[in-house]
Amino acid sequence: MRLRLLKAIIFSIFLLLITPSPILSATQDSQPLRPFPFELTSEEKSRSISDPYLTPYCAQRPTAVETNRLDKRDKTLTLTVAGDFTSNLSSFITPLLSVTDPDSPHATLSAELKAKGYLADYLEGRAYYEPQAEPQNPNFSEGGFLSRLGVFREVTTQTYQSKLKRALIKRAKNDFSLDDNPYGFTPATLSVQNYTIACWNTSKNQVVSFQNYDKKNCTSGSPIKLSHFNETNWAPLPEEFTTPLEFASASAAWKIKDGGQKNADGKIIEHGKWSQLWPYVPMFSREDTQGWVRSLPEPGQQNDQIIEKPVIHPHLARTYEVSTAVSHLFSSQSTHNYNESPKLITYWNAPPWTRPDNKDWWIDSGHNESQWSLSAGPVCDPNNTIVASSGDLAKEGIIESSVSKTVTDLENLEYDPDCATTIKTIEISPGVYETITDDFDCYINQPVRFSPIYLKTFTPFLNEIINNLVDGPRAIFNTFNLDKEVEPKEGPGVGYPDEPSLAYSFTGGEAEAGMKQPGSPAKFFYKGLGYIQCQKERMLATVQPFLTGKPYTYFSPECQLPPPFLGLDVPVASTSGGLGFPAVCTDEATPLPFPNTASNSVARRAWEIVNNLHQGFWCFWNRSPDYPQNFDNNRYKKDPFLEKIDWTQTYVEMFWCTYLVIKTYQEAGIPIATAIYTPTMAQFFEAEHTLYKGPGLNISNASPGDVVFFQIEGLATSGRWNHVAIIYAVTNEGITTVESNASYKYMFYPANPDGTFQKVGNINIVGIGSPNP
Amino acid sequence: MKQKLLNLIQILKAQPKKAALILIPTILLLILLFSDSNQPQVTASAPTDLRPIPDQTTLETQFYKPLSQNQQQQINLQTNPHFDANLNWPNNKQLQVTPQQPLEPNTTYSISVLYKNQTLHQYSFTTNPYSSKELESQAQLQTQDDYLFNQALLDIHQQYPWYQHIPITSDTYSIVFDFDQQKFRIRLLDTPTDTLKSQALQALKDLNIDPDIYGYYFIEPSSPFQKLINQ
Repeated sequence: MRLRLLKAIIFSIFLLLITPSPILSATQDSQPLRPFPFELTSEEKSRSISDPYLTPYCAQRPTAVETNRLDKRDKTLTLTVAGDFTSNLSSFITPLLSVTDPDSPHATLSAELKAKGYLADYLEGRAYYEPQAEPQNPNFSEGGFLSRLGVFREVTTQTYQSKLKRALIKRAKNDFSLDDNPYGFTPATLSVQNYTIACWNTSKNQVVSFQNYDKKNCTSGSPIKLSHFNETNWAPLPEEFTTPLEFASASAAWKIKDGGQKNADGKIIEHGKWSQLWPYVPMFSREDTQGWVRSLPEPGQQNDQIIEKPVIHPHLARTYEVSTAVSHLFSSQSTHNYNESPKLITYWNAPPWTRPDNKDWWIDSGHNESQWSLSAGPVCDPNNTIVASSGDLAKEGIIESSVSKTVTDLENLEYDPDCATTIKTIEISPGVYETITDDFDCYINQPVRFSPIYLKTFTPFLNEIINNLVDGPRAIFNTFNLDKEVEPKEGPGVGYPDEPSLAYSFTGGEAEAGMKQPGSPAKFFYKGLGYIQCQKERMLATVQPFLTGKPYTYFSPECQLPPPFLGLDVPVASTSGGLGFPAVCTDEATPLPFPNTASNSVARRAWEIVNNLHQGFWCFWNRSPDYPQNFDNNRYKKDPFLEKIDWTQTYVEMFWCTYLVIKTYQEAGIPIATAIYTPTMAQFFEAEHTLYKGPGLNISNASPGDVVFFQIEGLATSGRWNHVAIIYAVTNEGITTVESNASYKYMFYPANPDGTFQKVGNINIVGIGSPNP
Repeated sequence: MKQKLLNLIQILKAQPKKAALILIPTILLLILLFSDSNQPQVTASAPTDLRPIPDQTTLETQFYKPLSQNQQQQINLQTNPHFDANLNWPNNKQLQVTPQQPLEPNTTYSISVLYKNQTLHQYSFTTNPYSSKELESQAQLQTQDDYLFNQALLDIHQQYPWYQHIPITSDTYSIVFDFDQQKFRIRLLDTPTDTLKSQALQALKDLNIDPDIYGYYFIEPSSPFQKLINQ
């Protein structure tokens, strides 16, 4: 018996193993951004509505209406509304999406408007993958921007991109651990589905047509899945090598791996398979996400069941991941401009928002309410029918609720016991007469309406998205707070006369979403995300100028806020390096913000030199008018970002950090070797002067005019010391340095109460060189 | 001969006036005969011995007056340790000496400028401990490290965009950011009062920094930390 049971179990397991997992239906519209529509990962499937990561918001109160016949002669009334209420969620659309849906009204937009929509989508969730190569000189106004890669790629380094890609590969192989998490935040799910990212034709040595993003359409090549990548063929990372040169060598080898070629000069003339495929590996999840809609009964209903319906949201997980990463990259623009945090939670829990005339109205972002001011509510983009793009549907569903509410002993305000009646004699059949009382006027056909349920949505990640983007210290959108806070208002809505109806039906009578035009299907948008819409516009206004060289034109002028606070350096992207360099350097020698009061001659001279430094290569402060021979001006004019040479292997004169030490010491008559390299300079100090280092290093070792040595933690630089600066001032709190060949001319490094130096970001103070014994 | 010279000295000692009459014109005659009014004079030379110089530095000697072609040909150089060099006159008051090979690193060189094999001027200098080739290699590495350092620096300023305003100091408080605790450390330098604390927090707010986002802590004048750092 036991053996039979065991066999049955084994057979069941076998059946489970051989049963194919659900595959994408050919009828479903798969696309690169959503390769598995409506398919959830096991992690997503296992989530429940009680999970705390779900954000409840956006209550809807459809109204059931049933005509009751009331008798004026009754002193009290009994009113009843009963039936089945059906909420059709088929038009439940997230507004974060694309303009790719051919049925979308956005399909006919001009190229420029599409491009702006695309840019919005990149910011929100598409910053990782497009099947086209990026043009070198995209023409924004003519739609060339359409094929550009995402903002994320513009602003982040290749190294970080590769790390994210590796992480996604590991997630697809269920090999991802939060212990090795490059995202800087917890991703939406630890695992993702094993996407087919491209088709590869070995004989042609190239990526081939991959039109419908369905593996069946990989006709002239082999589908490449995320799981095909591993440590032998993914892009090498600098941190895996002890020197940049070793990394460069490994990168070159990887670029020609499996089919690539070099010419006689050693230049790569054809990339290999994995190098060509690498751009197609996404950096972020493309999973659908599960949320819920809960119908909650009105108090007093006879059938007061709570119904929960899962819904599938496209893009939200991706939006969460990308926007969080973008917020990390852009956090410098997040906290300093407007420090008032929007109370978004209250927005989300506020059912109807407020009209300027203080009347409540229902949510309907599909409606173009251009007359509403920004303070009217979170949807601050009145033209969101243009910008919000969209297309991908959430998985539809129907919520059916039994509705039954009876109210008795209501005072009859029309009470009329002497209601006028007339006695009539009528012939009910030939020759047969009957006397009746005509009391028709004593009855009133009264439509009785109440909101039997309200719908509350529980949507994943929105809270995190807002916390990361809007409300946290790294919040990028925090720059763009609403002008006024909208007070939440509870209570049943009365609707707005011109507002289209949502897709509700009520078998007992008719359904309304307020006073609507019944039967007109409408799509409703999340108000919280409508809020983001305005933030999105402001973010575009921030990033577009350096992406396109052109200022951003607001769709909604009311989204525009005063210019940001000036006086803080805001790192922006370059067109190439992605390290946060400004695309154009200033030609001004931005002065140091503190006066030169140092009594130490070295510190005083260092202040003078640094104060007069100009931006040079990469816009670092490495061009000294005092020492013009120490700057390769000719090369700078031609190639300010050193994009045309391999500067790791080519000598380019600039005013390095060590030059500041050399010049100031020489001019003060203090022996100093021309040691350009930081470790060599440290050796010189150790041999000829005094070098404090090791565990005992503390602020008491530091004096103005001394040299401070830095080491960057976590770099593949063999633990070497990386950078030097001159100590300008020493206080109980820490040291202030002045520096050359740096992106900032000065820096403050705090000390601990015990005098040891704190780690600042990834920067450690590891030594202090003093000319004094 | 020696005896004749001794006799002459005896005579001069015995008749000093006569000796003076003989010696002064003789000396004047000798000066007239042997002096060269066109002898070059050196006014400056470079490098000096104050700072180590690169191994491919060109040496320069500046003369007081222009040297004729003939005089230039009489100028020579004596170097110790020896190195071969090319002499060049960019103008007739300036001599440039370019070593044919890079000089030895970390070596003190003595240079004598000779005119008609007589020493006109001497100077010395010390070469840098590192050769030009080594420095080139150092420069490439330092360029990379400065670049990486700036990446770390930019990360800090991206994460803490207000950091360029830190520390905030006044007569009554100073504010720094404690990276270990990720909080603002506000040291009160005066009697701690709520007003003073509010002023300090307001200083942060004035920079559009919400101190509540990061948190903060106060150090009062009598705290152990204060005592420690006052030691």
